Amino acid sequence: MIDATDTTLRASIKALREVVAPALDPDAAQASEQLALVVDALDFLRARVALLEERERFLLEHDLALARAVRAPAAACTPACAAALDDAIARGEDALQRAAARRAEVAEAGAAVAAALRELIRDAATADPAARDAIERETVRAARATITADRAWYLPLGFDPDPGSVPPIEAALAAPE
Amino acid sequence: MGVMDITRGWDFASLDDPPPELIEELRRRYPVERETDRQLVRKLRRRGGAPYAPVSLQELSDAVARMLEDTIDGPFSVSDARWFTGGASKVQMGFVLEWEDGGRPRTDRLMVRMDPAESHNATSKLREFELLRALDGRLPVPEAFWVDDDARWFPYPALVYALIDGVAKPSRGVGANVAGLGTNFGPGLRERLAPQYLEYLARIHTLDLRDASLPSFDVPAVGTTQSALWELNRARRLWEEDRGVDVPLMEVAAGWLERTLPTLDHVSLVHGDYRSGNFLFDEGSARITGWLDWERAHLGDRHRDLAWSTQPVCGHYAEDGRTYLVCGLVPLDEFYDRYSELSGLEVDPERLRWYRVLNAYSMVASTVGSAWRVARLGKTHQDILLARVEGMRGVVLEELRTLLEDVR
Repeated sequence: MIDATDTTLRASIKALREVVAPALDPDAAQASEQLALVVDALDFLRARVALLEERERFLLEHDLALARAVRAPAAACTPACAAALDDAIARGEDALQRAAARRAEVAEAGAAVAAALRELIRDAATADPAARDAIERETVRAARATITADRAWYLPLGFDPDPGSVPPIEAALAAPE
Repeated sequence: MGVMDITRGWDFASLDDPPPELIEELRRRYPVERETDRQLVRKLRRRGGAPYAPVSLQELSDAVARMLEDTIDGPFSVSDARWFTGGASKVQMGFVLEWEDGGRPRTDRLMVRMDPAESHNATSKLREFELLRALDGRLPVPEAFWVDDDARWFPYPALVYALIDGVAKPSRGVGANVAGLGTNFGPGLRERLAPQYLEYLARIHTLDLRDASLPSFDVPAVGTTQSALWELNRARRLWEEDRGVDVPLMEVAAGWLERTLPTLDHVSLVHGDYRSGNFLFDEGSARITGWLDWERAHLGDRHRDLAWSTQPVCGHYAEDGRTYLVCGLVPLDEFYDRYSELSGLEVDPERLRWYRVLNAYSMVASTVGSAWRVARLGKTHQDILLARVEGMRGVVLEELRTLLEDVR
C-alpha cells in the first residue's frame, strides 16, 4: 500500500500557496502572516514525519544512558529515588528491546526515565555534595547530544544563530550515547 | 494524597486545569512579589476555561466606548480602528479618539493592548499602567490613559495608551528576526543610537522613584537575596505551571541558581526586556522617541537587564565579522565600561553570570513550557506563532547548557 501522507501534505501546501494566499485581503496582515506560518509548519512536518519514531528512540536511548551513568551516585540519595530510577531504566530498556513497541510507548517510557531523573536531581540537592556534583556534571555532559539533535531537528525553522555548526538530522540522531 | 505528592508525581495533562491544592502548593513553594503571585494564580484559575474567542474590531471599539462612557464626561468619538500585528503575546488595536479633557477638545492616536485568554507571559496590566504613569516626564514612554485590570469593559484585561511616532527597525536595507531580536541598524544609525541606548539604560537604573505611586510593586531589601529569589521563583513557577515535559538540565540549573543567589546592592528599576525591538526612533534624526514593553518591569537588580541585553540572540557581529555588538549597537567590550561611567554603578561579573543563567532558564521555561501550553489550549490569537516558538528549543537549551558547563 502506498502511504499518501507526503502527497497530502504537498497538496495542502500547494493549495494554500496557489489558491488561498492570492485570495486573501491584502490589508489582512495577520491572516497573511499566519498563512505563511501554516505553510512553514506543513513543510517542516513533511521534512520530519518519517523520522518521528527514530527521534523518540534516540531520546529514550540517551536518557537511559544518563540514567545508567548516574545510578552509582544515586545510591547516596533516598532509596525511593534510586528505586524509581531502577524501575524507569527497566521500563525504558523493555520498550527499546521490543521492536513492536509503538512510538507512544517509547515516548511514555522516555518520559518515565526523565521524571525519575528529575526526582533524583531534586533529591540530590540535600544529599552528599560529591554525589550531587557527580549527578549534575553527568546531566550537563549528557545534554550535549540531545540538544544537538534538537538543534538539527528544528534547523529548518530558522532560529539557530549558528546553523553551520549543526549536523544533518540523520547524523545527529545517529550520535552515540 | 498530600500536596507534596501532587507535585512530585503530577500528570502534566492535569496542568490543563490545575486543582486548587496544586496552585496553593506552588505558591507556598515559590513565593514571589504580591502582584506577580496574583497574576500567576489568576492564570491558573482561568486555565480550565474557554479558549480564546476571536474579537472583531467592532467589538473592541464598542468596549472602548463602554469604558469611556463610564470614565469620562462629555462627547467622544472612536474612529480609524485597525489591527497592529507584531509580538506574540497581546491583541493590539490602534484607533483615534476625539474627546474633551477638562473641557478642552483633543484628539489622540491611541492603542488598546489586551491580553488573550492566556498569554505566554502572564504579566500585570495594572503594574504596567502604574509604571507608565510614574515614568511620564522622566523617560520617553507612551502616555497611559486607562487600564481595565479586571476585564470590566474589554473581553480580557487591557491597557489603553498613546501611540508614539517612530520605527523599531530601519525601514530599508537591514533587518531583524522575530520581535526585533538581532536588529541590524547599519553603521550610520548605530553610531547615533548607541549612546542613547546606554544613557537610557543608565538613567532607568538610577531613577529615584521613591516619590512615585507604584502600589503593585514590592521593593526588595538591599543586602539580601530577596530580589534574586523572587525572580528565580517566578521563573520556576512558570516552568512548573506550564511545561509538558521533564528536562533534567533545567533541574540542574534551578539547583545551581538556588544555591548561588546573589545579594542586592542597589534597588534599580529593571525594564525586564531592554533590547532592540523595544524602543522606537525617528529615522531622520536618529533620536530615540520611546521605550516600550514595560510589562516585565520590576524593582530589583540591574544585572538582570545587563545580562538580558547582552544575550547572543539580541545582537550580531559587526561588518568586520569579529566585533560582537550588544543589541546591534555597542561593542561588547565597551558596553559595561560605558554603562558604569554613565550610571556610576558597578558591573559585578559574578552577578552578571548568575542572571545570565537565570535568563537562559527563563527562556527555556517560556519557549518550551509556556508557549507550548498556551498554544496547546488554544488560548491566543497567535497560537500558530507560539507553536512555532518550539523551534527555539535547541537554541535556548544550548545557551543554558553552555552556561552551566562554564559555571559548574
